[in-house]
Amino acid sequence: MDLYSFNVCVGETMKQTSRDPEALLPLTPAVFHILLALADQERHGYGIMQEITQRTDGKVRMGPGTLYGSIKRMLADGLLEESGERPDTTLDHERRRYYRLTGFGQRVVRLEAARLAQLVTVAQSKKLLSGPEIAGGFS
Amino acid sequence: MSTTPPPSPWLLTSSERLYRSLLQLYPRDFRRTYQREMLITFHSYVSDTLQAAGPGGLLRMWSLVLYDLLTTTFVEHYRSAIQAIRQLSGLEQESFMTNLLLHLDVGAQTDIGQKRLTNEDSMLSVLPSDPDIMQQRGALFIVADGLGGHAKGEEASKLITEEVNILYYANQGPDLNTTLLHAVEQANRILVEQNTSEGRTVEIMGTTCIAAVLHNETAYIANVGDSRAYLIHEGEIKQVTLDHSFVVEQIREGKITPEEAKTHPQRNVITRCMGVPEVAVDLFTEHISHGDTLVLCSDGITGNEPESPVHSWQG
Repeated sequence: MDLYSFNVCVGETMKQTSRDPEALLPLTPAVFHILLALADQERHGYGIMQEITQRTDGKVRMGPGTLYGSIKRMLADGLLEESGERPDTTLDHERRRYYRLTGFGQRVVRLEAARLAQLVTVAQSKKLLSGPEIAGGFS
Repeated sequence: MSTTPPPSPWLLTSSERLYRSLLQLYPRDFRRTYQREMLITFHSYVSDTLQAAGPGGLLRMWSLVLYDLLTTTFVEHYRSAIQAIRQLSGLEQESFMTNLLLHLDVGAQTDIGQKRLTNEDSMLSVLPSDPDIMQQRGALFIVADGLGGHAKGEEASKLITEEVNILYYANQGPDLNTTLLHAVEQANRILVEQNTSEGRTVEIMGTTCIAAVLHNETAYIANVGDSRAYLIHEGEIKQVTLDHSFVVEQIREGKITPEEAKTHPQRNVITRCMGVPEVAVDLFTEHISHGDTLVLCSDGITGNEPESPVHSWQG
């Protein structure tokens, strides 16, 4: 004889959808960079690393450990979701996992960008930034 | 940078080998989910670095990777340790309730049937200790009943439970239903290959397989053979799966009565079985709610008492 039984107790607290995005702010630099990299399109892990390097002119380089450790927690926080595995033609058709922002992730990255833009305005008003082109990038 | 020599395959393969062994520093749960992805990412990273900046660039890249590895292995172990402490101190239950919307009490029981010398049943329950994995992939339960009298039923049921477990958590599609289906189908292919490689064509190594994934308020159940899943909801018992059994199919078609089935000479014949190429896997999705009980069992219980299978163990 062989038997399994499970008693299921489903908690009634906290649904993902009703969470407050403000509660996650401020974001760590790694999380913010990953959210920015995924803001325009879904990417695989290495695609995220490349996007971050390009957008920061090579000033920010993220290692695989930081990347996947952050992805793991961002998935758990509901900021990201996997959008499936697809073969990569450049790599012997090895399958890669792709990630994209959730609706919650989009709200969080917008709020964080707005928060930073506000700080830049403060810096501007105290004449800490020389050119308007730097601040203009945050509008 | 355009004048750098072509990338050396030796540098690439030795870098990969070194990185693969360094990944052992991460906690096991983390490796299970991300090792494959990290190796693919590392491969691209090394290839592109060698192409763009040659061996000098590779050296700079390694210094970044080593720094990254040291800090993040520390972070991942720290988080694992915190998790273990929470489990020990009883805080875990609360975190399960708030983060996962699911708490499980699991009971398991197996014993060797009266007629057989070995127990050909295998069972496995996986409740990932990592809350992130639990939240993304859910908990997995498998019962496999090796075919009685057939060659190596015990080995087959063990192989299937282990492979389904590995494949389910390794293949990460966003759709758990499909992931479970693929895991069972892939595990079947491994068993078929083993039969073929060991020259078994007539008396194959086979087993039934029932696997359930519990994720939030949903149960996904995959079934091949005559093991069963029951769902008990508010005192009512529902059989979720359909037996792939010759006599049950005959009853369903009205060709024999349940009474005749009890003594039918082919009552032990199953119509689908793991170990047979391209086996069709049944998939069921059930909503589960607070207080429900899900039961997976092999034919061993139900075979004795086909009309009231539940009473024999729900004392």
